[in-house]
Amino acid sequence: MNLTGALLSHYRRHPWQLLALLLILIVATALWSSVWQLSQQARNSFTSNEAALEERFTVLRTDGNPVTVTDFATLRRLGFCISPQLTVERPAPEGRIIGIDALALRCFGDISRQGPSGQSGVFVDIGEAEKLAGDQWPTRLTLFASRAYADLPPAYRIASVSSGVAAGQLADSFLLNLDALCALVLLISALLVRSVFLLGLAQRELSLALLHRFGVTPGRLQFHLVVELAVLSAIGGTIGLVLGQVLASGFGQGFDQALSGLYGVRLYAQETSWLAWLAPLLVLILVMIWAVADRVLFSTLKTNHRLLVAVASTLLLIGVGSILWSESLTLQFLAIGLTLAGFGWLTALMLPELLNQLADTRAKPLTGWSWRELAVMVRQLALPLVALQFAAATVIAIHALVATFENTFYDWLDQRLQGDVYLQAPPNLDRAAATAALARLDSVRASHGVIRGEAQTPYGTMELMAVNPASSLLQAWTFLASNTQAPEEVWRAVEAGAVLVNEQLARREQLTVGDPLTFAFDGSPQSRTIAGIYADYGRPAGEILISHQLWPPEANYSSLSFSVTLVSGSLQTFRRQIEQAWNSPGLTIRDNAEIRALAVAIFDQTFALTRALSALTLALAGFALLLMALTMFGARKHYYQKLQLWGMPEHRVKHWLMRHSTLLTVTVGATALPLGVFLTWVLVARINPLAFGWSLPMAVFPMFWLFILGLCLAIGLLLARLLAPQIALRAGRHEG
Amino acid sequence: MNRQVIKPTSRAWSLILAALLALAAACSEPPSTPEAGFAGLGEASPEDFRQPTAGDTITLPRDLGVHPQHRIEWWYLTANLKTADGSPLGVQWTQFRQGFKPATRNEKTPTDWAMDAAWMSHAALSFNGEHYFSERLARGGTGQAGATGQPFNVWLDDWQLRRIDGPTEQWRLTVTADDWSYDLRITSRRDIVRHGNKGFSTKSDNGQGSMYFSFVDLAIEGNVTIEDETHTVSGLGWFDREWSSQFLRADQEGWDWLALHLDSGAKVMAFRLRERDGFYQSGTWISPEGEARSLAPDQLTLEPGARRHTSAGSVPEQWQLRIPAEGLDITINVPAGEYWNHGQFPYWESPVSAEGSHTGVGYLELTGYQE
Repeated sequence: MNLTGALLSHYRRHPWQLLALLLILIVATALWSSVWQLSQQARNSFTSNEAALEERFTVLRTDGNPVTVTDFATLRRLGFCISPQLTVERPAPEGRIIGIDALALRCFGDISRQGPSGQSGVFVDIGEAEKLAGDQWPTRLTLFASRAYADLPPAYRIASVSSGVAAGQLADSFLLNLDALCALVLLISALLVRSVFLLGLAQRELSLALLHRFGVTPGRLQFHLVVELAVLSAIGGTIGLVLGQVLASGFGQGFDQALSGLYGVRLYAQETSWLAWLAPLLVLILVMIWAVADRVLFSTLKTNHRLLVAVASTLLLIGVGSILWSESLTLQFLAIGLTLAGFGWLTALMLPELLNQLADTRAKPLTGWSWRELAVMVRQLALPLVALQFAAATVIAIHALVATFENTFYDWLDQRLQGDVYLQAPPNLDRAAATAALARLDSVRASHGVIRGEAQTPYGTMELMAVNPASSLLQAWTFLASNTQAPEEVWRAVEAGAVLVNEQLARREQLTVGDPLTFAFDGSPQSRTIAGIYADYGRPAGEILISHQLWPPEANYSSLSFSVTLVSGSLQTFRRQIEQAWNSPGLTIRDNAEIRALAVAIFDQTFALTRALSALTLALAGFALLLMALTMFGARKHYYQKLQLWGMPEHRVKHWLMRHSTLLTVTVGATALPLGVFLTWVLVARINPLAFGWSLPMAVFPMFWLFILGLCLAIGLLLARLLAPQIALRAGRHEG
Repeated sequence: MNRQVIKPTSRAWSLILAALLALAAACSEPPSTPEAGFAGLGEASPEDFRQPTAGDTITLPRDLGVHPQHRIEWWYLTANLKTADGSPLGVQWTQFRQGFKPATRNEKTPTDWAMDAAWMSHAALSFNGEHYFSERLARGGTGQAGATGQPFNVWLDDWQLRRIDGPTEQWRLTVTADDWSYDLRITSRRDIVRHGNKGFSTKSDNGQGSMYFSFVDLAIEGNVTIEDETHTVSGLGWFDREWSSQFLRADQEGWDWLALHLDSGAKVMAFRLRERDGFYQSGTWISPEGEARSLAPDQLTLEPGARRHTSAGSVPEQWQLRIPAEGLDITINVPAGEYWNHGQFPYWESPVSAEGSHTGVGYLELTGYQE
């Protein structure tokens, strides 16, 4: 038998170990590669979106109809520099593609800027895009103008492309969240692979020594072990990547919705290259080799318990300190990593100490032995236990974040979606006349108009929103900050000329109630006082709210919409009346309940991904712990068998085993609680404001903690159940 | 030998291909194979298009419009004008069409944006030793660019050559570039000249060629504006109409083409296609009375003289043209300056003057000289 054969014979004797390693690698790779793929695709989409918006002006028809190829040709033949863009909305995982006309783009100047060649797959020829869309996917034609022409024929008008989304930095933050989760999964899987592999290494110690005595140099042995792990990683990783692809397509649609809901960016088509496959595989192999490097490559490294405790404590301190002091999202995530590593390491180092001390204080030999046995179990299972701890803490934190968000968000949504229906006015209507005509309808009980446009502020272009502060539909608003508890007083202040700003703007520019805010709108500079700050979940863009009286009747606006409360059951009547009053057939009237459902769905999707990922990580950690314990228990079972030999009935020995296993997992679960609460706080109070521009109230959910502890208990019980057959005397079999 | 020869008067039709390929490389990766190019350029093999043959005829006004069965065609106007104070001013306007797929009868455009052809328009002005050039491109099929025979109208964006309603053959050409423009009224004073054999112009030893006719005697007047200064201009013009389906051969280095208005009232067109080891040449002599005679390769000589070193390469600035049968022996000179059309594919297009046995003015086109 050659060296490879001799080394691999270990897995012939321990097929479960091989299976465990492969399963961990497959599941972990599938998890993180799917999320990684989506976040990369999203990152490119943001870049494309920004590139696509480089042309700032679009041409619209004044009659409100969508522009067509005829409009394009008409305007070009009149000498205007117009370029078409056909957006094809394919659902994920295919994603959006954009058709451009490179020939028409030439009058825009530098052509390489207009068609980002690095985004192949996203930008295609417009004819190609149209062909791809066929009758299958919806398309949207946009005509871009090279500048804001003032002399367009009356049938057309120029609209400024309000990018609204400062996509770059904020979107990066969102994606960084996902990247961090990927890294966490990768690290947890590295811990698990390390534990299984090191266990195998311990079991192989004798045979390795034997090989060494037969003349195999340590270098060759190390090389073979590294190759062995690399091959295992490559096999598990490849299968995992394929599964990850499947997972990514499954998540894709929700993720797409989340992106468009949060940032107004759709997921673009992505070309998959061999590099996209190879890179994660290489990362996986490197991380796995790194995970065992200290034992395989530098096995002479001596460790000192006190030194390790000091290092772990320092890591923890640096981590917590950075979380408290740093203002960069990347640093926050690194700090979380350090905190987790420090906390997990300390748990693994201190818990056996603690248990041994407990053993020393116990008079009864059986109790003393029991604590010591537990301490040994903790030491031997340190890595999967720490992985379980991380996973449980992450699940607790994400659950708290999502639950808090849902509560806050739904309340806020109910507040905003006052009225029965939502109505967008066609662009060619006279604002005052349209508002008056709506109010006169007998099918309308109350209505509330929202005018939107843009204001220039010292902080850049912001969305400007104007409402009638006296509207009954606004009185349910609550404010994050105002000088008074009564919302009606805030609205009175707005009526008197004060403004409101959204939380994003307030946070970003550190604005508070009472501060002056200067902005230019419709060519005239304004200086107003901030009367209140309102929550505006989801979008990262800054927004200013003013009274509709400040909006001059002739000033431009980008949109005019209405929330309308109807006289009961009169939607059809209302439709007929409003279409007649506005002389605009085919108006889109949306049911507010539907909008709410849509918004809820979008946010559900947003967090489904994170929820799924954390839950799967927990499952993976639990599964690995079971596998590890099953393998490791071979070396411990004779202690339990001895108890029987000394006369303890089998069911009592099993009872002790159950105590040990449940105590083990529940203790780990318990140590995960403070970590989970801390992580919740970091997400809510540190990460969220940095990533999304708004924060959430901190909330804890003890019932969910119980659920997690219950899960740990269940894992412990399952473990005892699985281990029990091994301690039966007749089933006893020597191993190792 | 099966020589596939481009016609020298082809006026850079191959530029379209080069331009589109360059564009394709610059702005988009090809959706399918690299050979198919941007938007399927080259998807149809040349065999799918009709190749002109001897016996094909020319009918007006039909042949002023598009030939969807042919791959390549162009509308080409050059004018030797003078401002009110007598300063010479040259004008060029050209529109090219490159088909991607021959149209089939009764075929409707199935979609809005399918590119059936690419269009390219060139406009140039030469005045006071300065040369101004502008280029426009458009996809076919959208209406942004096109051509019709009746009423005669050729357009790309707001650049347009169209017939003015009336009993005489009168056209109007309008072009607006960044800081210059022209608006010209064009009157044809003679019937068209069909080059070669009733319009089939042979371009190679084995008989391949293109359909080619010209309005050789155009009276032109109008306004030319350069950097906010408007000049009233008038003078003579030459308009070529040509279509074919051939491509450049790899060993062909370029061509030299010229068209002259002689003061005697005669007109002459001559070309020379430069090959690796020799050239193919031909031309047409039009007498002052309007009688056209095709010139076989051995009935003329067209020889380059001194060269001018320019920013984009060295070009012959002097030419000797002899047509013994007509007693013509003239030297053709390019005025001072550089006359490169720096589009996707640079070429030389300059007004010229002739002296010797005859005097006159005209236009010279040189391709394949850029370095």
